Amino acid sequence: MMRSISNMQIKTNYQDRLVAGFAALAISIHLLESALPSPIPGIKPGFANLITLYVLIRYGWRLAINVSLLRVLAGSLLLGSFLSPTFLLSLAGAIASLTILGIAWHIPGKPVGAVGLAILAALAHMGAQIMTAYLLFIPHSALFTLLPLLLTVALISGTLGGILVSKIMKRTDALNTA
Amino acid sequence: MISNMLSGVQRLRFIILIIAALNLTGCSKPVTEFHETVFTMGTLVEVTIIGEDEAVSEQAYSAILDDLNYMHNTWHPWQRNALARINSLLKTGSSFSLAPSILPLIKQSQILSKQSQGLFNPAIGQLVKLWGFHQDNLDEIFGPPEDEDIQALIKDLPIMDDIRFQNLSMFGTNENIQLDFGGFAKGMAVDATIERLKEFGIKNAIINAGGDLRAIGQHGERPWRIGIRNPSEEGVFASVETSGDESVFTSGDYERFFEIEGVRYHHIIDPRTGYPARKSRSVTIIHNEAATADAAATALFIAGPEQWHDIAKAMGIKYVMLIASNGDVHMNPAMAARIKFTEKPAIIKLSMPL
Amino acid sequence: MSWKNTTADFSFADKIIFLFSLLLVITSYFYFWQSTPATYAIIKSTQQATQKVDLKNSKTYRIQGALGISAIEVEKGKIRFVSSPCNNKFCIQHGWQEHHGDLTACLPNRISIQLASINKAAAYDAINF
Repeated sequence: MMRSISNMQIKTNYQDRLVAGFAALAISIHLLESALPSPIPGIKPGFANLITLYVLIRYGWRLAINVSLLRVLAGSLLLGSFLSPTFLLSLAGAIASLTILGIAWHIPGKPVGAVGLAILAALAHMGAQIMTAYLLFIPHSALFTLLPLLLTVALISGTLGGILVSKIMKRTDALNTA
Repeated sequence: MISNMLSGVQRLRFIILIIAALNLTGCSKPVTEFHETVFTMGTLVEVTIIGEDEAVSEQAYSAILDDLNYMHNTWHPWQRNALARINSLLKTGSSFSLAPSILPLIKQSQILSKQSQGLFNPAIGQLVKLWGFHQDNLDEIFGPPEDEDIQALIKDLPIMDDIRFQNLSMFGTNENIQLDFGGFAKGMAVDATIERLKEFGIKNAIINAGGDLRAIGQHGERPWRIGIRNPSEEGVFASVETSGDESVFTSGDYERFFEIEGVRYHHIIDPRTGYPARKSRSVTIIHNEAATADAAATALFIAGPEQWHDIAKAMGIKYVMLIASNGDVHMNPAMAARIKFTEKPAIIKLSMPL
Repeated sequence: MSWKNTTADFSFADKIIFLFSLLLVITSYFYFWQSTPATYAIIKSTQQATQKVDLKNSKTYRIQGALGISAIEVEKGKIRFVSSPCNNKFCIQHGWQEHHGDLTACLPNRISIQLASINKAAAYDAINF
């Protein structure tokens, strides 16, 4: 009478599968990114954000939130950095960039394209990481001497990433309509 | 009406002229700065004077140089001078005539010693000598003295009250008394120097004697910005602004010391134990008179985190920052409001108001 | 699959965002990287006349002090003690000095070096320690 657990299936819908797939992609990038050296441990350029951006444009803000937070959570569990400083920095960066993306994406007429969104997200991501690092870990004003360099990295990675996402969108558009 | 009087082009020129004239008012006269450094009183003394004629500054500066040399020679604790003579006469117990050059030091010290419950005690010169801090350079390290020698001096510790006055003479009541104004003469010298500058009509200046300073007035339009530094670490870790007439004095365990087998023995001896005071790493005081600030910095350093508040209150000090031996930063609220840290310390302990 | 054929979409808003961000990043350099470098140094000794040296010229100065001769090196806007007859060599350990207002000295040898620059305001008027 009682269904055994091995037979139970969790019903998933299309959206869930989308989130899972993209989250997996984002997590992979997150893992690869963790291998990159950084002046302040835990502060990353945020390439995994590009997946978030793609999901945002294609499938909307809510899904993007799911993918992003799932990426931060699962990524930190896999890396063994859950609740560590790295995790907090990732989380702060993700929340900040999601907020900015949410605001920019919901402007009527959607004037901001992939490149603009990517730049905004990257700057917000980096800015939030630095503020979190300052408030929680390194309350030293010397931290801010790194700010210009890190912002430059954010700007460049944001711009190039945005261009990349834009091209991918066009490609996948072409594939979809083909 | 004006629009009728001037043609279009003339109006334009007029407007440009007005704008240009307004911009010129933004150019303020550069504030004259006089800045000199001289080696005297056993340390580097920096003199900064703002907003005065160069001639006046130069005159005031040479007057100060003379004063500083005189004070250095007269108050030096172990050279042959008036102080040395007084020290040898005090030991004998018989009375001798007052020495005008040393009298103000003694009188001031007696008051400050009482207020600091004896923690500030310039009469323990023999103890200081025992530890070997009785030289200009610490070239010869004596090593920690024998405990029995220290205890012998502690047993009947000479205090400032062991100097008595009778009419125009004075005498000592403890044969071990030896006056060493090391922790105080700098403050008095800075005070005397500032008074001299004021005599010349100078209103904005800083006298910085080896890191301890008194600043009057301000820097042109803005207050003086004083950086606070721990020499054993890089850079300025805090800063305060002063205007009016204020002294900033710091006593630290890094000023004169020697290290033997990893233990640091520094020159601020606790008169109660005969050993260097261990409870604090440094104390920074803001107070108007430099002499009091100097004595208070020493006394509060010895007092340590538990006792400093009472002593500061008794001495009338309003701004204190004490860094304890474990690195904790203790401050009273008024100081916390004034001080700006470049890196916030891990632990700040606020005391009751002073 | 060639990516070269697909051009990226740059909306007008994108361009504005890019320019604004560029401006922000450039400003951050000016704001956070300010230090007032010194242009000259004043070397004082009780044993010889005060010298004012230009930090642009790379040169080594031999200055007579109370204990002996200290060698002071100037290179590319910086100055330091390289050798000194003192015991503790604190002056040498202090290393290169380059900012307006920096002060270093060999106290046993009675030599001091004060850095300054023309027309620049120092961060602090005096240092307490």
